[in-house]
Amino acid sequence: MTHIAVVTVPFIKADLHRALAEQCLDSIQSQHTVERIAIVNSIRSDEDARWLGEHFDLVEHNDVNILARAWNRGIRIALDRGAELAIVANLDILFHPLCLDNLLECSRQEPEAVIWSPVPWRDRATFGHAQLLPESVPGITWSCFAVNRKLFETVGMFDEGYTPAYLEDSDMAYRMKLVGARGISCRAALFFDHERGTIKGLFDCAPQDVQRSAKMLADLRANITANDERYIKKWGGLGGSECFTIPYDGPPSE
Amino acid sequence: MAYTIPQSDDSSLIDQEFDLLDWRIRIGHLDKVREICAQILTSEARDLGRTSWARILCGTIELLRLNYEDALRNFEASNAPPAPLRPRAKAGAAKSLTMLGHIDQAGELLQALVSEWPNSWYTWEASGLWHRKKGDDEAAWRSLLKASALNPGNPSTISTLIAMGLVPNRYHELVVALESHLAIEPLNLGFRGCLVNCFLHTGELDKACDQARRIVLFAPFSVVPAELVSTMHGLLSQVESS
Repeated sequence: MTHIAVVTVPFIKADLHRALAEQCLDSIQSQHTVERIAIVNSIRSDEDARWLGEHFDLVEHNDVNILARAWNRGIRIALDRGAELAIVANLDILFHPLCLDNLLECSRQEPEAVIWSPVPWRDRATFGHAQLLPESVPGITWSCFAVNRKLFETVGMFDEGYTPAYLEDSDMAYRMKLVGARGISCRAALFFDHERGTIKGLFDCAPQDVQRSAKMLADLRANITANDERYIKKWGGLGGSECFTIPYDGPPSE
Repeated sequence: MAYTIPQSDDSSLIDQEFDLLDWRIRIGHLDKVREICAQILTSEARDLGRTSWARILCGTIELLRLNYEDALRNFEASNAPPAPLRPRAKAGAAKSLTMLGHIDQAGELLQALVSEWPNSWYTWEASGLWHRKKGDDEAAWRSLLKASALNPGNPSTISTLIAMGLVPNRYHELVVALESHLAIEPLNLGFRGCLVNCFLHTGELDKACDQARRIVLFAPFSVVPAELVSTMHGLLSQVESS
Protein backbone atom coordinates (compact mmCIF):
# COMPACT_ATOMS: atom_id res chain seq x y z
CA MET A 1 0.00 0.00 0.00
CA THR A 2 1.25 3.45 -0.90
CA HIS A 3 2.16 5.88 1.85
CA ILE A 4 1.23 9.56 1.41
CA ALA A 5 1.36 12.39 3.93
CA VAL A 6 -0.81 15.41 4.59
CA VAL A 7 1.36 18.21 5.97
CA THR A 8 -0.34 21.10 7.73
CA VAL A 9 0.77 24.10 9.76
CA PRO A 10 -1.66 24.67 12.65
CA PHE A 11 -2.10 28.27 13.76
CA ILE A 12 -4.84 28.11 16.37
CA LYS A 13 -5.78 31.37 18.04
CA ALA A 14 -9.57 31.06 18.03
CA ASP A 15 -12.27 28.41 18.23
CA LEU A 16 -13.02 28.94 14.55
CA HIS A 17 -9.45 27.96 13.63
CA ARG A 18 -9.90 24.65 15.41
CA ALA A 19 -13.38 24.07 14.05
CA LEU A 20 -12.16 24.58 10.48
CA ALA A 21 -9.13 22.35 11.13
CA GLU A 22 -11.37 19.60 12.49
CA GLN A 23 -13.59 19.73 9.41
CA CYS A 24 -10.52 19.63 7.19
CA LEU A 25 -9.07 16.57 8.93
CA ASP A 26 -12.45 14.83 8.93
CA SER A 27 -12.63 15.23 5.17
CA ILE A 28 -9.40 13.25 4.54
CA GLN A 29 -10.18 10.02 2.70
CA SER A 30 -7.93 7.66 0.79
CA GLN A 31 -7.46 4.04 -0.09
CA HIS A 32 -3.76 4.52 0.74
CA THR A 33 -2.02 5.00 4.07
CA VAL A 34 -2.26 8.68 4.96
CA GLU A 35 0.07 10.06 7.62
CA ARG A 36 -1.04 13.36 9.18
CA ILE A 37 1.84 15.65 10.03
CA ALA A 38 1.50 18.94 11.92
CA ILE A 39 4.28 21.50 12.12
CA VAL A 40 2.78 23.82 14.70
CA ASN A 41 3.26 27.55 14.25
CA SER A 42 1.13 28.69 17.15
CA ILE A 43 -1.52 27.35 19.52
CA ARG A 44 -3.30 28.76 22.58
CA SER A 45 -3.08 26.16 25.29
CA ASP A 46 -2.39 22.64 26.52
CA GLU A 47 -5.91 21.80 25.42
CA ASP A 48 -5.02 22.70 21.83
CA ALA A 49 -1.84 20.60 22.20
CA ARG A 50 -3.90 17.63 23.41
CA TRP A 51 -6.28 18.07 20.46
CA LEU A 52 -3.37 18.10 18.03
CA GLY A 53 -2.01 14.92 19.59
CA GLU A 54 -5.33 13.20 19.05
CA HIS A 55 -5.74 14.32 15.44
CA PHE A 56 -2.23 13.97 14.01
CA ASP A 57 0.22 11.09 13.68
CA LEU A 58 3.18 13.40 14.16
CA VAL A 59 3.27 16.82 15.83
CA GLU A 60 6.37 19.00 15.76
CA HIS A 61 6.71 22.63 16.75
CA ASN A 62 8.23 25.20 14.44
CA ASP A 63 11.03 27.13 16.15
CA VAL A 64 9.79 30.42 14.67
CA ASN A 65 6.42 31.43 13.26
CA ILE A 66 7.38 31.29 9.59
CA LEU A 67 5.14 29.40 7.19
CA ALA A 68 7.88 28.65 4.64
CA ARG A 69 10.03 27.13 7.39
CA ALA A 70 7.15 24.92 8.51
CA TRP A 71 6.44 23.81 4.93
CA ASN A 72 10.12 22.95 4.32
CA ARG A 73 10.35 21.00 7.54
CA GLY A 74 7.02 19.21 7.07
CA ILE A 75 7.82 18.19 3.50
CA ARG A 76 11.28 16.91 4.47
CA ILE A 77 9.89 14.91 7.38
CA ALA A 78 7.09 13.42 5.27
CA LEU A 79 9.44 12.31 2.49
CA ASP A 80 12.08 11.03 4.93
CA ARG A 81 9.41 8.90 6.58
CA GLY A 82 8.72 7.24 3.24
CA ALA A 83 5.79 9.16 1.81
CA GLU A 84 5.61 9.03 -1.98
CA LEU A 85 3.85 12.39 -1.95
CA ALA A 86 3.64 15.19 0.62
CA ILE A 87 0.34 17.05 0.33
CA VAL A 88 0.69 20.46 1.94
CA ALA A 89 -2.69 21.85 2.90
CA ASN A 90 -4.14 24.86 4.68
CA LEU A 91 -6.39 23.81 7.51
CA ASP A 92 -9.37 25.82 6.24
CA ILE A 93 -10.09 23.52 3.29
CA LEU A 94 -12.21 20.43 2.75
CA PHE A 95 -10.92 17.58 0.63
CA HIS A 96 -13.23 15.96 -1.91
CA PRO A 97 -13.42 12.24 -1.04
CA LEU A 98 -11.34 11.37 -4.13
CA CYS A 99 -8.97 14.33 -3.90
CA LEU A 100 -5.93 12.64 -2.38
CA ASP A 101 -6.06 9.49 -4.49
CA ASN A 102 -6.54 11.34 -7.74
CA LEU A 103 -3.78 13.79 -6.83
CA LEU A 104 -1.43 10.85 -6.28
CA GLU A 105 -2.53 9.40 -9.61
CA CYS A 106 -1.87 12.76 -11.28
CA SER A 107 1.67 12.85 -9.86
CA ARG A 108 2.26 9.42 -11.37
CA GLN A 109 0.74 10.26 -14.74
CA GLU A 110 2.59 13.57 -15.01
CA PRO A 111 5.99 12.88 -13.41
CA GLU A 112 7.67 15.71 -15.27
CA ALA A 113 5.89 18.28 -13.05
CA VAL A 114 7.26 19.27 -9.63
CA ILE A 115 4.03 20.42 -7.98
CA TRP A 116 0.54 18.97 -8.36
CA SER A 117 -2.51 20.86 -7.07
CA PRO A 118 -6.13 19.96 -6.70
CA VAL A 119 -8.62 22.46 -8.11
CA PRO A 120 -10.61 24.71 -5.73
CA TRP A 121 -14.40 24.46 -5.71
CA ARG A 122 -16.07 27.73 -4.75
CA ASP A 123 -19.60 26.88 -3.66
CA ARG A 124 -19.88 24.78 -0.54
CA ALA A 125 -23.54 24.02 -1.27
CA THR A 126 -22.75 22.23 -4.54
CA PHE A 127 -19.36 20.72 -3.59
CA GLY A 128 -20.93 17.28 -3.24
CA HIS A 129 -22.19 17.48 -6.83
CA ALA A 130 -18.91 18.52 -8.42
CA GLN A 131 -17.99 16.80 -11.64
CA LEU A 132 -14.47 15.34 -11.71
CA LEU A 133 -12.56 15.44 -14.98
CA PRO A 134 -9.66 13.08 -15.81
CA GLU A 135 -7.35 15.85 -17.04
CA SER A 136 -4.87 18.41 -15.83
CA VAL A 137 -4.17 22.04 -16.66
CA PRO A 138 -1.22 24.34 -15.92
CA GLY A 139 -1.28 26.18 -12.59
CA ILE A 140 -0.86 25.82 -8.84
CA THR A 141 -3.22 26.56 -5.98
CA TRP A 142 -1.11 27.24 -2.92
CA SER A 143 -3.79 26.50 -0.34
CA CYS A 144 -3.28 22.83 -1.23
CA PHE A 145 -0.43 21.36 -3.26
CA ALA A 146 1.55 18.17 -3.45
CA VAL A 147 5.27 17.63 -3.91
CA ASN A 148 7.87 14.89 -3.92
CA ARG A 149 11.65 15.12 -3.71
CA LYS A 150 11.92 16.64 -7.16
CA LEU A 151 10.82 20.12 -6.05
CA PHE A 152 13.68 20.60 -3.57
CA GLU A 153 16.19 18.92 -5.90
CA THR A 154 15.38 21.02 -8.96
CA VAL A 155 14.12 24.33 -7.55
CA GLY A 156 15.13 24.36 -3.89
CA MET A 157 13.25 24.95 -0.69
CA PHE A 158 10.73 27.68 0.10
CA ASP A 159 12.45 30.95 0.99
CA GLU A 160 12.20 31.38 4.77
CA GLY A 161 12.90 35.09 4.58
CA TYR A 162 9.20 35.92 4.15
CA THR A 163 7.92 36.27 7.71
CA PRO A 164 5.58 35.08 9.03
CA ALA A 165 3.85 34.27 5.72
CA TYR A 166 2.88 35.70 2.32
CA LEU A 167 4.83 35.66 -0.95
CA GLU A 168 6.83 32.50 -0.18
CA ASP A 169 4.51 30.87 -2.73
CA SER A 170 5.00 33.52 -5.43
CA ASP A 171 8.74 33.30 -4.84
CA MET A 172 8.66 29.55 -5.44
CA ALA A 173 6.45 29.96 -8.54
CA TYR A 174 8.89 32.47 -10.04
CA ARG A 175 11.90 30.31 -9.29
CA MET A 176 10.09 27.38 -10.90
CA LYS A 177 9.54 29.50 -13.98
CA LEU A 178 13.22 30.44 -14.09
CA VAL A 179 14.33 26.80 -14.15
CA GLY A 180 11.50 25.63 -16.42
CA ALA A 181 9.77 23.51 -13.76
CA ARG A 182 6.05 22.89 -14.13
CA GLY A 183 3.17 22.99 -11.70
CA ILE A 184 -0.13 21.50 -12.71
CA SER A 185 -3.69 21.41 -11.44
CA CYS A 186 -5.55 18.13 -11.49
CA ARG A 187 -9.22 18.44 -12.40
CA ALA A 188 -9.96 15.00 -11.00
CA ALA A 189 -8.96 16.27 -7.55
CA LEU A 190 -11.02 19.00 -5.91
CA PHE A 191 -11.16 20.80 -2.60
CA PHE A 192 -13.39 23.43 -1.08
CA ASP A 193 -11.62 26.48 0.33
CA HIS A 194 -13.16 28.56 3.12
CA GLU A 195 -10.57 31.21 2.18
CA ARG A 196 -8.79 33.45 4.67
CA GLY A 197 -9.57 31.09 7.53
CA THR A 198 -6.76 32.50 9.68
CA ILE A 199 -8.03 36.06 9.44
CA LYS A 200 -11.67 35.00 9.81
CA GLY A 201 -10.71 33.20 13.00
CA LEU A 202 -9.01 36.29 14.39
CA PHE A 203 -12.19 38.32 13.76
CA ASP A 204 -14.25 35.61 15.42
CA CYS A 205 -12.08 35.28 18.54
CA ALA A 206 -13.37 35.22 22.12
CA PRO A 207 -14.25 38.66 23.56
CA GLN A 208 -11.23 38.63 25.90
CA ASP A 209 -8.90 38.02 22.93
CA VAL A 210 -10.08 40.88 20.71
CA GLN A 211 -7.25 43.24 21.62
CA ARG A 212 -4.58 40.58 21.10
CA SER A 213 -6.09 39.38 17.81
CA ALA A 214 -6.31 42.93 16.51
CA LYS A 215 -2.64 43.45 17.31
CA MET A 216 -1.80 40.23 15.50
CA LEU A 217 -3.74 41.39 12.46
CA ALA A 218 -2.03 44.78 12.46
CA ASP A 219 1.39 43.07 12.69
CA LEU A 220 0.40 40.78 9.85
CA ARG A 221 -0.51 43.77 7.67
CA ALA A 222 2.84 45.37 8.43
CA ASN A 223 4.64 42.13 7.61
CA ILE A 224 2.80 41.83 4.33
CA THR A 225 4.10 45.25 3.33
CA ALA A 226 7.61 44.25 4.41
CA ASN A 227 7.35 41.05 2.38
CA ASP A 228 6.24 43.02 -0.68
CA GLU A 229 9.31 45.20 -0.30
CA ARG A 230 11.56 42.18 0.12
CA TYR A 231 10.09 40.51 -2.96
CA ILE A 232 10.67 43.63 -5.04
CA LYS A 233 14.28 43.87 -3.83
CA LYS A 234 14.83 40.19 -4.56
CA TRP A 235 13.21 39.98 -7.99
CA GLY A 236 12.94 43.58 -9.24
CA GLY A 237 9.14 43.71 -9.17
CA LEU A 238 6.04 42.11 -7.71
CA GLY A 239 4.41 38.93 -9.09
CA GLY A 240 4.18 39.10 -12.89
CA SER A 241 6.55 42.10 -13.10
CA GLU A 242 9.76 40.44 -11.96
CA CYS A 243 12.84 41.48 -13.96
CA PHE A 244 15.80 39.79 -12.22
CA THR A 245 16.82 36.25 -13.06
CA ILE A 246 19.26 36.10 -10.15
CA PRO A 247 18.08 37.11 -6.64
CA TYR A 248 18.88 40.74 -5.84
CA ASP A 249 20.15 41.04 -9.42
CA GLY A 250 23.30 39.15 -8.58
CA PRO A 251 25.93 39.55 -5.89
CA PRO A 252 26.88 43.14 -4.99
CA SER A 253 29.84 44.41 -7.01
CA GLU A 254 33.08 45.08 -5.12
CA MET B 1 -3.60 3.10 -13.41
CA ALA B 2 -6.31 5.69 -13.89
CA TYR B 3 -8.15 8.43 -12.10
CA THR B 4 -11.14 7.40 -10.05
CA ILE B 5 -14.16 9.13 -11.52
CA PRO B 6 -17.44 8.11 -9.89
CA GLN B 7 -20.03 6.73 -12.26
CA SER B 8 -23.00 8.87 -11.50
CA ASP B 9 -26.12 10.20 -13.11
CA ASP B 10 -24.77 13.15 -15.13
CA SER B 11 -27.84 15.19 -14.37
CA SER B 12 -26.73 15.52 -10.75
CA LEU B 13 -23.24 16.78 -11.50
CA ILE B 14 -22.12 20.37 -11.80
CA ASP B 15 -19.44 21.47 -14.22
CA GLN B 16 -16.22 22.97 -12.80
CA GLU B 17 -16.46 25.84 -15.29
CA PHE B 18 -19.93 26.71 -13.99
CA ASP B 19 -18.65 26.87 -10.41
CA LEU B 20 -15.79 29.16 -11.41
CA LEU B 21 -18.00 31.50 -13.45
CA ASP B 22 -20.65 31.60 -10.73
CA TRP B 23 -17.94 32.65 -8.26
CA ARG B 24 -16.77 35.32 -10.69
CA ILE B 25 -20.30 36.73 -10.70
CA ARG B 26 -20.18 36.89 -6.90
CA ILE B 27 -16.98 38.93 -7.01
CA GLY B 28 -18.44 41.27 -9.61
CA HIS B 29 -17.01 40.13 -12.96
CA LEU B 30 -20.41 40.46 -14.62
CA ASP B 31 -19.29 41.65 -18.06
CA LYS B 32 -16.62 39.01 -18.40
CA VAL B 33 -18.93 36.17 -17.39
CA ARG B 34 -21.65 37.40 -19.72
CA GLU B 35 -19.11 37.48 -22.56
CA ILE B 36 -18.02 33.90 -21.84
CA CYS B 37 -21.64 32.73 -21.59
CA ALA B 38 -22.47 34.47 -24.87
CA GLN B 39 -19.69 32.49 -26.54
CA ILE B 40 -21.06 29.25 -25.08
CA LEU B 41 -24.57 30.09 -26.28
CA THR B 42 -23.52 31.04 -29.81
CA SER B 43 -20.93 28.32 -30.28
CA GLU B 44 -21.55 26.10 -33.28
CA ALA B 45 -20.73 22.98 -31.30
CA ARG B 46 -23.32 23.69 -28.63
CA ASP B 47 -23.54 21.33 -25.75
CA LEU B 48 -26.97 21.13 -24.15
CA GLY B 49 -25.55 20.82 -20.63
CA ARG B 50 -23.32 23.88 -21.00
CA THR B 51 -25.93 26.07 -22.69
CA SER B 52 -28.34 25.18 -19.93
CA TRP B 53 -26.11 26.41 -17.11
CA ALA B 54 -24.89 29.35 -19.20
CA ARG B 55 -28.53 30.49 -19.33
CA ILE B 56 -28.74 30.34 -15.54
CA LEU B 57 -25.60 32.45 -15.22
CA CYS B 58 -26.95 34.99 -17.75
CA GLY B 59 -30.26 35.09 -15.86
CA THR B 60 -28.39 35.70 -12.59
CA ILE B 61 -26.44 38.58 -14.13
CA GLU B 62 -29.58 40.17 -15.60
CA LEU B 63 -31.34 39.90 -12.24
CA LEU B 64 -28.41 41.69 -10.60
CA ARG B 65 -28.63 44.37 -13.28
CA LEU B 66 -32.40 44.68 -12.78
CA ASN B 67 -33.08 43.65 -16.41
CA TYR B 68 -35.99 41.42 -15.47
CA GLU B 69 -37.28 40.69 -19.01
CA ASP B 70 -33.87 39.37 -20.02
CA ALA B 71 -33.46 37.51 -16.74
CA LEU B 72 -36.81 35.76 -17.24
CA ARG B 73 -35.99 34.87 -20.84
CA ASN B 74 -32.72 33.26 -19.76
CA PHE B 75 -34.11 31.36 -16.79
CA GLU B 76 -37.00 30.02 -18.87
CA ALA B 77 -34.60 28.93 -21.62
CA SER B 78 -32.42 26.89 -19.24
CA ASN B 79 -33.85 23.53 -20.23
CA ALA B 80 -32.99 20.65 -17.92
CA PRO B 81 -29.99 22.04 -16.05
CA PRO B 82 -28.14 19.73 -13.62
CA ALA B 83 -30.55 18.69 -10.87
CA PRO B 84 -29.00 20.80 -8.06
CA LEU B 85 -29.43 23.92 -10.22
CA ARG B 86 -33.10 23.39 -11.04
CA PRO B 87 -34.54 25.21 -8.00
CA ARG B 88 -32.21 28.10 -8.77
CA ALA B 89 -33.50 28.37 -12.35
CA LYS B 90 -37.14 28.18 -11.26
CA ALA B 91 -36.64 30.63 -8.40
CA GLY B 92 -34.85 33.01 -10.78
CA ALA B 93 -37.84 32.90 -13.11
CA ALA B 94 -40.22 33.45 -10.17
CA LYS B 95 -38.20 36.46 -8.97
CA SER B 96 -38.14 37.95 -12.48
CA LEU B 97 -41.91 37.49 -12.87
CA THR B 98 -42.45 39.07 -9.46
CA MET B 99 -40.35 42.10 -10.32
CA LEU B 100 -42.16 42.44 -13.66
CA GLY B 101 -45.44 42.57 -11.74
CA HIS B 102 -46.75 39.18 -12.95
CA ILE B 103 -47.72 38.26 -9.42
CA ASP B 104 -50.17 35.45 -10.26
CA GLN B 105 -47.78 33.68 -12.62
CA ALA B 106 -44.98 34.04 -10.10
CA GLY B 107 -47.28 32.65 -7.41
CA GLU B 108 -47.97 29.51 -9.47
CA LEU B 109 -44.27 28.98 -9.98
CA LEU B 110 -43.63 29.44 -6.27
CA GLN B 111 -46.26 26.88 -5.36
CA ALA B 112 -44.41 24.39 -7.55
CA LEU B 113 -41.10 25.39 -5.94
CA VAL B 114 -42.42 24.96 -2.41
CA SER B 115 -43.83 21.53 -3.18
CA GLU B 116 -40.79 20.28 -5.12
CA TRP B 117 -37.89 21.96 -3.25
CA PRO B 118 -39.07 22.94 0.23
CA ASN B 119 -35.52 22.71 1.58
CA SER B 120 -33.90 24.98 -0.95
CA TRP B 121 -33.04 28.51 0.14
CA TYR B 122 -33.74 29.66 -3.43
CA THR B 123 -37.39 28.72 -2.91
CA TRP B 124 -37.74 30.80 0.25
CA GLU B 125 -35.79 33.78 -0.98
CA ALA B 126 -38.02 34.01 -4.06
CA SER B 127 -41.04 33.53 -1.83
CA GLY B 128 -39.88 36.39 0.40
CA LEU B 129 -39.57 38.71 -2.55
CA TRP B 130 -43.01 37.71 -3.81
CA HIS B 131 -44.72 38.32 -0.45
CA ARG B 132 -42.94 41.62 -0.09
CA LYS B 133 -44.09 42.72 -3.51
CA LYS B 134 -47.63 41.80 -2.49
CA GLY B 135 -47.28 43.94 0.62
CA ASP B 136 -47.41 41.05 3.08
CA ASP B 137 -44.34 41.93 5.11
CA GLU B 138 -44.95 39.36 7.82
CA ALA B 139 -45.06 36.44 5.34
CA ALA B 140 -42.04 37.89 3.53
CA TRP B 141 -40.12 38.09 6.81
CA ARG B 142 -40.91 34.45 7.66
CA SER B 143 -39.86 33.26 4.19
CA LEU B 144 -36.60 35.17 4.33
CA LEU B 145 -35.79 33.84 7.79
CA LYS B 146 -36.26 30.34 6.38
CA ALA B 147 -33.99 31.17 3.45
CA SER B 148 -31.38 32.50 5.84
CA ALA B 149 -31.59 29.44 8.10
CA LEU B 150 -31.09 27.16 5.08
CA ASN B 151 -28.13 29.17 3.77
CA PRO B 152 -26.80 31.54 6.45
CA GLY B 153 -23.82 32.53 4.31
CA ASN B 154 -25.89 34.16 1.59
CA PRO B 155 -25.45 37.93 1.87
CA SER B 156 -28.40 38.93 -0.33
CA THR B 157 -30.97 37.37 2.02
CA ILE B 158 -29.32 39.02 5.00
CA SER B 159 -29.33 42.40 3.23
CA THR B 160 -33.09 42.13 2.67
CA LEU B 161 -33.62 40.98 6.24
CA ILE B 162 -31.70 44.02 7.48
CA ALA B 163 -33.79 46.29 5.29
CA MET B 164 -36.95 44.81 6.82
CA GLY B 165 -35.70 43.91 10.26
CA LEU B 166 -34.67 47.14 11.90
CA VAL B 167 -38.01 47.48 13.68
CA PRO B 168 -38.65 46.65 17.35
CA ASN B 169 -40.32 43.25 17.11
CA ARG B 170 -37.73 41.86 14.71
CA TYR B 171 -34.39 42.68 16.32
CA HIS B 172 -34.00 39.34 18.08
CA GLU B 173 -34.66 37.30 14.91
CA LEU B 174 -32.36 39.56 12.94
CA VAL B 175 -29.62 38.97 15.52
CA VAL B 176 -29.92 35.20 14.99
CA ALA B 177 -29.64 35.59 11.20
CA LEU B 178 -26.71 38.02 11.47
CA GLU B 179 -24.82 35.89 13.98
CA SER B 180 -25.28 32.80 11.80
CA HIS B 181 -23.97 34.71 8.80
CA LEU B 182 -20.99 36.15 10.67
CA ALA B 183 -20.05 32.71 11.96
CA ILE B 184 -19.43 31.83 8.30
CA GLU B 185 -18.27 35.22 7.03
CA PRO B 186 -16.72 37.00 10.03
CA LEU B 187 -15.10 39.62 7.82
CA ASN B 188 -18.37 41.28 6.76
CA LEU B 189 -17.99 44.56 8.63
CA GLY B 190 -21.21 46.07 7.34
CA PHE B 191 -23.28 43.23 8.75
CA ARG B 192 -21.29 43.35 11.97
CA GLY B 193 -22.19 47.05 12.20
CA CYS B 194 -25.88 46.11 11.86
CA LEU B 195 -25.42 43.58 14.65
CA VAL B 196 -24.15 46.36 16.90
CA ASN B 197 -27.20 48.38 15.97
CA CYS B 198 -29.52 45.46 16.84
CA PHE B 199 -27.83 44.90 20.22
CA LEU B 200 -28.18 48.57 21.05
CA HIS B 201 -31.89 48.33 20.32
CA THR B 202 -32.36 45.15 22.33
CA GLY B 203 -30.47 46.71 25.23
CA GLU B 204 -27.62 44.17 25.12
CA LEU B 205 -24.94 46.78 25.57
CA ASP B 206 -22.08 44.39 26.44
CA LYS B 207 -22.61 42.51 23.22
CA ALA B 208 -22.90 45.77 21.28
CA CYS B 209 -19.61 46.96 22.75
CA ASP B 210 -17.85 43.66 21.98
CA GLN B 211 -18.89 43.80 18.33
CA ALA B 212 -18.12 47.50 18.04
CA ARG B 213 -14.64 46.95 19.49
CA ARG B 214 -13.96 44.26 16.92
CA ILE B 215 -14.87 46.60 14.08
CA VAL B 216 -12.89 49.54 15.39
CA LEU B 217 -9.81 47.49 16.33
CA PHE B 218 -9.73 45.13 13.36
CA ALA B 219 -10.56 47.62 10.64
CA PRO B 220 -9.70 51.09 11.93
CA PHE B 221 -9.35 52.50 8.44
CA SER B 222 -12.61 51.27 6.95
CA VAL B 223 -15.69 53.45 6.66
CA VAL B 224 -17.70 51.18 8.98
CA PRO B 225 -16.21 52.41 12.30
CA ALA B 226 -17.06 56.00 11.39
CA GLU B 227 -20.62 55.08 10.51
CA LEU B 228 -20.86 53.04 13.65
CA VAL B 229 -19.68 55.80 15.91
CA SER B 230 -22.27 58.17 14.48
CA THR B 231 -25.04 55.55 14.83
CA MET B 232 -24.04 54.86 18.42
CA HIS B 233 -23.97 58.57 19.24
CA GLY B 234 -27.44 58.94 17.76
CA LEU B 235 -28.87 55.99 19.67
CA LEU B 236 -27.22 56.87 22.95
CA SER B 237 -28.47 60.45 22.75
CA GLN B 238 -32.00 59.09 22.17
CA VAL B 239 -31.61 56.94 25.28
CA GLU B 240 -30.33 59.91 27.30
CA SER B 241 -33.14 62.24 26.19
CA SER B 242 -35.79 59.69 27.06
